[in-house]
Amino acid sequence: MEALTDMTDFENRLRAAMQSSVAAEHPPANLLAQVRRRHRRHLARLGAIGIAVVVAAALAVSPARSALLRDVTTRPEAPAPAIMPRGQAYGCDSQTYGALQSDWRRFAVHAGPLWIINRGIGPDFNFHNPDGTLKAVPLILLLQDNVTVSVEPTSAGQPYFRFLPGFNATDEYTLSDGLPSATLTACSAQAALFGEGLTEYYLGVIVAGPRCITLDVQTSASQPPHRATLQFGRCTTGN
Amino acid sequence: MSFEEFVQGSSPRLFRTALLLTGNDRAAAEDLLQAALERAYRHWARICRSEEPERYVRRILANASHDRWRQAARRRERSMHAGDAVAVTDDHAGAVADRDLLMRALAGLPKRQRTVLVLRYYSDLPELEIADVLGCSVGTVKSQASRGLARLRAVVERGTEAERTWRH
Repeated sequence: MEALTDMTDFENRLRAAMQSSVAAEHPPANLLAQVRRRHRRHLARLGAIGIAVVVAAALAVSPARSALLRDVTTRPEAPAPAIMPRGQAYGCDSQTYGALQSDWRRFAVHAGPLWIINRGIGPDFNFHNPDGTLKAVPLILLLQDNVTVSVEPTSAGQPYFRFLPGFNATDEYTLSDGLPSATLTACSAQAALFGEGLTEYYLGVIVAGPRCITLDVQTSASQPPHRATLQFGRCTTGN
Repeated sequence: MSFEEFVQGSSPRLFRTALLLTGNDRAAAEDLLQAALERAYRHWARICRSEEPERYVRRILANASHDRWRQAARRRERSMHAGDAVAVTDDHAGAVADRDLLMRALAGLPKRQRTVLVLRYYSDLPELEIADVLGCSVGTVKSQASRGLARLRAVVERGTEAERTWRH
């Protein structure tokens, strides 16, 4: 019992020592500015790496094929489906805010009301963990209207791309963790955090890559989709 | 609640927690807090809807302190010696000396033990919540706390003995 009392007294001493040792400490006055600056550096790293990938892709393809890596809103090819898929839903409660460099549009893949910044992976990125599971690839999406984004499987019906509901702690995923389509909501002007009339989402996808993938970007079931092709690692156009 | 309001209201508590987690290394604590808040900032629209956003950020804080790169940047853990004891002259100085000895000893603990003790005795979290924050079992929390306290007691007792030797 005496030992227990001693331990309790010691715990109280420890608690008191902790409290008094930091009681007079205050965070730096510019903490908020420091956090925002760190966040901008984080997004700049995303954009810079994505820029390198997109620029490298633009240099690597011939002019005749480069159109596939740019917005092809003037040449929608797929027939309009009767029903718009919903898939993974991203609503305004999951929008993000991150300042991008002022010329970010130059480095985004543009399809209708949607811009996609493909982040953070180089041509030699390993899409698989040693155990065969897939790693998440983050994307930044900016939109000015509600869209549904979907990907078709290969002609053999093989899935290879999924939108994830979020990021887990282990960065280990299988295709069953995601969905082949996603619906993103454009927030109202008052609710959108990014500004410029755009809503930003920071989300993860998994790709059984490396490969180029073509996404259908649809704003309405009655309109043919826009198409955007993203490059994940070293790839040639086409699935 | 906006992110700005949250930072204004909670950052003092979170900063003091970060100081204790980093062994009272102010530069490391500032860096740790910035990193944790930046991660929360990315997902604030979702976090602010939870019942306790501070709890969520504290979780990020505790786990971010274990990031591998941060461990490499920290100074080496100080070993605990009885020679760290400070001679006392009066009761107040004695209390300060006791506190300083305890804090130096705390800073010298292995990171997991220190984190558990800080969350338990400074943040006053129950063991179940500490286990949830650190992603381990309650049994691990108990054992880490027990070992940490035992090491602290050993240092303090050696320091007290050194003091008695000095005085006499």
